[in-house]
Amino acid sequence: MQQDAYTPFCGTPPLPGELLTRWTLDPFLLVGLVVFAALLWWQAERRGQALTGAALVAVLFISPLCAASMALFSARVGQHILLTLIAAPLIAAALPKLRLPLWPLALLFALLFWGWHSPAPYAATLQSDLVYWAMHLSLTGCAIALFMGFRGAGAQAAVPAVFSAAQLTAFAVTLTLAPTAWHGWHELTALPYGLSALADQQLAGALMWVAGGGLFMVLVALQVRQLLRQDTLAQSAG
Amino acid sequence: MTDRTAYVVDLPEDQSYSGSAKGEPDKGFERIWDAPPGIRYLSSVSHRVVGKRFLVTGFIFFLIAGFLALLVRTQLIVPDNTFLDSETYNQVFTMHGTIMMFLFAIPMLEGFAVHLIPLMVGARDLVFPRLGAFGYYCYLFGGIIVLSSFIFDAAPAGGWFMYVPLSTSAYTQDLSADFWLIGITFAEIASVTAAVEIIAAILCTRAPGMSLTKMPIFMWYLLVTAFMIAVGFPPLIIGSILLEAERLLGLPFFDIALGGDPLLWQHLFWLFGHPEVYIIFLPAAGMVATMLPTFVGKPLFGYGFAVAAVVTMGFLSFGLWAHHMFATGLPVMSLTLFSAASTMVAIPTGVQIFCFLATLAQGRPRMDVPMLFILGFLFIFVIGGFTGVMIAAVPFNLQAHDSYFIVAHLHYVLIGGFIFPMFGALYYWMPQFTGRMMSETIGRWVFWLMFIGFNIAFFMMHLTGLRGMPRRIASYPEGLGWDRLNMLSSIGSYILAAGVMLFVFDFFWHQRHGLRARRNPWGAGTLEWLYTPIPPGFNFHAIPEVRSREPLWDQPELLDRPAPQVEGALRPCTDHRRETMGNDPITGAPMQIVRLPHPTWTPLISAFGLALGFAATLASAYWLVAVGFAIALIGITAWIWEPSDSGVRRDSGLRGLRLPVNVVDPRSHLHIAVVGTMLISFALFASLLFAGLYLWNTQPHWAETTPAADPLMAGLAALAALSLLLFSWASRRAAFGAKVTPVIAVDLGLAVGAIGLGALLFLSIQPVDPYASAYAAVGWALFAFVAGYLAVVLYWSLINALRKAVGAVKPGQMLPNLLIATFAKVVAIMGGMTAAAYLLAGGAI
Repeated sequence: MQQDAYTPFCGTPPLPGELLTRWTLDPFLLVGLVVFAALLWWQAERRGQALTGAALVAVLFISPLCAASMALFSARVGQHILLTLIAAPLIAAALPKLRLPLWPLALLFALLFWGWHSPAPYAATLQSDLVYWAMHLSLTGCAIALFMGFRGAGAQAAVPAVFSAAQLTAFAVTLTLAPTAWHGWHELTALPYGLSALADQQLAGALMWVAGGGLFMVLVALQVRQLLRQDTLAQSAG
Repeated sequence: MTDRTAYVVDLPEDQSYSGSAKGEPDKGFERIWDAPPGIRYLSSVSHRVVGKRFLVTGFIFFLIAGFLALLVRTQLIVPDNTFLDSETYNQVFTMHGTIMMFLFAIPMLEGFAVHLIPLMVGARDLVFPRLGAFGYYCYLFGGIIVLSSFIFDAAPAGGWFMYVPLSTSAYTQDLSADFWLIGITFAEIASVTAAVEIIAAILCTRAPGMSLTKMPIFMWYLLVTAFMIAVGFPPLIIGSILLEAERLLGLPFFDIALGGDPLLWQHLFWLFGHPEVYIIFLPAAGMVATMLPTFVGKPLFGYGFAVAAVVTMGFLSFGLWAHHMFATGLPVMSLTLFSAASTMVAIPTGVQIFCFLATLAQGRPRMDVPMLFILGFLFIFVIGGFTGVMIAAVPFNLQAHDSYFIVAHLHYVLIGGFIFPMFGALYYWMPQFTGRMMSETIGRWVFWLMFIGFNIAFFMMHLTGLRGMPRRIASYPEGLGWDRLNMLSSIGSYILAAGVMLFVFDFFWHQRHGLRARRNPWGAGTLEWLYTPIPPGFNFHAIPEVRSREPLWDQPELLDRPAPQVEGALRPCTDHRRETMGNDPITGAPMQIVRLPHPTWTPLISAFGLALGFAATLASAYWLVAVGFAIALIGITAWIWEPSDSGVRRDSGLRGLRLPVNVVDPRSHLHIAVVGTMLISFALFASLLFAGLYLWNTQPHWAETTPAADPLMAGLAALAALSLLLFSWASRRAAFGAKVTPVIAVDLGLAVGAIGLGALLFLSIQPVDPYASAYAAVGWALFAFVAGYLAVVLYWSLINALRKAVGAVKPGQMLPNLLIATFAKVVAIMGGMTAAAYLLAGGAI
């Protein structure tokens, strides 16, 4: 790492012992998060819910999880699962209901998710703050838009939702079953945690497969409940 | 939702071209719906005829598979038995599993669905009667092909999951695996056509006022099941086709020496196999959820929770296939998580079970025979669920793997989750099929014999398994501690079989001596009991408006007069056609009048042609294959070449509401069916892509050494896909226009686009040798798949053009242009993705 003077946004990969001390209190990050929260406050219909989402986003970037994601690919994937499958739907549900073009969003989200986790773009996020933020802003933004789209589409969200679940699962399977580690960066950083880079990557894949799948399932259940309730209300009103 | 009126082509209300040309003006309303007499009965497409055929055929296969199970138990009754030799034993247990899963369980639930959906949602027939009839014949012929393997002494012997490499030509040299692959794939056509039908029927032909939340709960279960079939069967169909291509053509998909992977088969198989369990369980649970309120006298507790749980289960079941593969060397890191995920299924299942229990707790259930079977279901299925949670734990799983513990678990789940509800449902709905009640007395004997026999037979197997007895062994030595347990299991299975035989006796006895069913014999709340069983062939004189989930309980106007006098829609039959109401899929508001086909031979001819083609493939008589498929093509062409019904409006009989007939609209039943078809098609395509991705991922060396597709041609193919996309957009626009003749240009554009895309894809994959590696073979498989769909676009667009040229299409009748637009759009996307895959695999992107 000598020739590389650049320090990634979340700092150098931490050792297990120092992990809990590694909070990311970058002033730009804090200002950015405040602006984000203010924007949500301004636009949201359910402010409490929107702020809960924003608070989760803040935790994901300020807490030691950010640093952990420098050492472990599985931590990074965990961060992205929480970001796209909990924070994003929370925020999307708090914003006004909009009809968005669902298929383009579902495709874009698939491309972003596969793209940002494949070797070259992933390495680039560790070489430049700009790329790092391009990744997180595009992923989060697209996920929020996607879940707004699901919400706006009602029952017609079914097929795009099946597609999104399938592509996320396919990515998880690919990651879990890959015979070699994809990201050279983690070859050494994962070792202090008792994991080879390959094992770390398998953990990342399985997390996505199972935790991601589980969260998606909860979101589906919530949307169905919501739909049925609206339908019942519409019936009793009309 | 798009603007409500935007798509309806507004036409003058003229009578100049009515669909009545195809009507039967010499017949009255009731005669129009009668099943044709004599040999022409085979041309009947009525859902009740087709539904009964499914049920009877499925039950016969159940008896055959049950007989095979008795052979297995007889072989195992004592140690070192010589009743069956080991080769026959392998055939017997393979065929037992295969028939039970593919030729009994799925068709049986299709039978209930086909028979009950129209009656429960208030339709006069299933929305695509010919497709239903066609599906049945495919199932029948496919089943006969599979069963005929016994005659040729080539019954499949590789286990119901046909694992490779055992089932490749190197280790299964006779035709037995081919019988399985071809017969089962053929029979599966029935499953996927049924899926399309169920989706369109439930979404598009509900009674006025029946919104999604007013549907009987069974409809939700069937809807989710249909979607699961649409997405879940394609991986197995693709897997079977790949394996058959390996056996027949020598393409190395699963050959490890050429970069294939035997585990790919397991992934594809269980990607189907896991959802399959839910596909079997959910409709049965739906029947329980329908029967239970009747016997308790209260509505189902937690309708919304149950629906959410069912939809959730549908999604969840697709992520779980890996837990069938714990012992295949999956990464250790992932096992704990899969284990956790497997226990997660208990949540949505538990929600449903608690809804059932809460319903039970609301009142004092009437202990009629169906209720006994429901209680049997709850008891057995819950135990099966518990052992399921046990084997979700990886360490225990590795111990119990391939032992009789698994046999016990899967039978508790499947017999508890499907057979018991199904027998309950047969007792419950039998009046709908025969007009008579089955015997309460004999029914109790049937239940107790089955319940006791089942538990003796299969509870023991848990213990046999824990004592180490492996599955699929033809005999075992004395003194391992398995002797007495096996003896008990076999005796239990005989008791279970006695219960089933008593049911068969009861069935024949009740047809003669059973009491005639009176109107609504069980006091149910759902619409199928409106008429005195058997309801008339048209189901409803007038289709009543529905204002409640239990209309017969909450709408007194339905039961306070004779059923034929109940008010509703479509009482007049002005065009002498079979008709039913069509609605907006989401809101349920009346939207169109759906014209339904009269009896026709085309489904039988088409299915027969396909059967001939498949059977001739088995016999390697390739000229006969061509003849068979030609017959099928002729049958299908005759089927689709019919005068259009669109373009007129008729009185719906509902407060003066005039509705278009077979409306040109994206919400039309035909368009919904095309969407469903393309969902299945894309799932097939995605299964192939998955195969390619899997090989690229796990066999990177072969992915690197396989020569690349021609990047220039692949790039041009991507452009051709774009042009096909543009033409499909134009076709969609044209469908709503008033001009007919200029649209021929669009049709021809689609045809040319299809040819161009196919040719360019061929040129780009042409430098790759399909026999060189599995990876290359998948590339060719992608091409062949897309080419097949392009051929359909070509044929269909030419037919559309021809029909316009000969004047068979008038303004407002261009629904086919809307349908082909959606079809071609998805085909173009698949073609574009194939081109992109070629570019990506070759490293050009």
